[in-house]
Amino acid sequence: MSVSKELIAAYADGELEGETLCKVEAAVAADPELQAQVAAHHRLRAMLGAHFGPVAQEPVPERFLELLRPGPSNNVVDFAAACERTRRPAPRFAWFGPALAASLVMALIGYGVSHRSERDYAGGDVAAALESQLVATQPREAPVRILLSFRDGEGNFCRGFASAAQSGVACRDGRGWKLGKVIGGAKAQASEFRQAGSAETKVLAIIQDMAEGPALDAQGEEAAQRGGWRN
Amino acid sequence: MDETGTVRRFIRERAKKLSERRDGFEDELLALLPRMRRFATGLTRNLPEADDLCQMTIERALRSRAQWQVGTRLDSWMYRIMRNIWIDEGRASTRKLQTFADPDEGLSVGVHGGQEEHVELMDIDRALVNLPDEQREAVILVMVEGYSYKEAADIVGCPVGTLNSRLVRGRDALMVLLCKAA
Repeated sequence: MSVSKELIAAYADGELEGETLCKVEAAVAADPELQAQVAAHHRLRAMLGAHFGPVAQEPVPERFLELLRPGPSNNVVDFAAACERTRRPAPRFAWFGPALAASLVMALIGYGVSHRSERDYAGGDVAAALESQLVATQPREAPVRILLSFRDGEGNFCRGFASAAQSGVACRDGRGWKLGKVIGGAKAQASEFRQAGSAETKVLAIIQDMAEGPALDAQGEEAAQRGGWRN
Repeated sequence: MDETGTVRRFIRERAKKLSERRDGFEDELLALLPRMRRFATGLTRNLPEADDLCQMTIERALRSRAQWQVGTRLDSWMYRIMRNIWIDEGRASTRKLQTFADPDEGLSVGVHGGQEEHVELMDIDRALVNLPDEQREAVILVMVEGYSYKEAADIVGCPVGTLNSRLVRGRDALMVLLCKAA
């Protein structure tokens, strides 16, 4: 069989298969000239590999690593870095990129978030905390802790809260603090999922979905409270 | 333990995991950088210029990351971007370089062995300079980067047959030049 140089090259490159491979293999085995051609292809590949190989072994320039480091200019927001940038007292929660928020919500939705009647309003301790507590100044052991405050799509002030009995999001309207999504309390969640703060995490995931713009900082929260949480 | 700290740590870890799971774009790109530099060096035959090409490629990839489909090969996508930039912007400066640089200088990379090896590598450089861009590109994609003919054709954006004939012509010319030099 006559074997074209294209076929020999393809054979040397490992591109042949099936019947063609068998035929060329047999032809090469029977012909020292073809064997020499195959060897020449392999030698060329080895030379080129040796020539360019060292570049791939060198350390990559720092400027490339800088480009790929997660930061404000990139789409992926580094959560820890974002936390550091917002110089607010704890708890400080920054915002993920929308895609990440969506995936977070997707990931957490499986945990099951129960919906209460839309007409429910917060009462008792929860209502008091929603009305008066500020994230920046609330006691660490407060029975109801405010996680953060933000504005929803309609511009209403909303606050995420967590307590032993109940955690969720409530938004202020003319009548009071209307409960949005409410999930079980922090204690129940902790034993149920063996993950401290999973209720808070879920509340934050809900907020990611609801919020229009960033969380209020300490000043914004104080101003909103002075205004009676009315938009 | 401070509960807030725990929550924040938990969320941070969760966010990290999610961002990794999302597509691993940065990490995968990071792992590709050494190979991208090698390919860029093959195209430009000059390390400083290769690094400029790499930087432009990374920047464009980050800007157009939405166009990369998760689950497809990131390396082929990056190589495609790189060769397109090289064609759009790179060649002019490469030509300029070719005119003013002594071809004997060639690549400074890869020179690490004894005198004999040194001579051989310089010969490869000279041989590569003499190849038309298209043939050099085909040779590098297949024989250095290890792509199959089909993958290389996808990166270049031409039919497999075209890639194949460029490759055969390129490697023939290289073998002739290298034989003469030997």
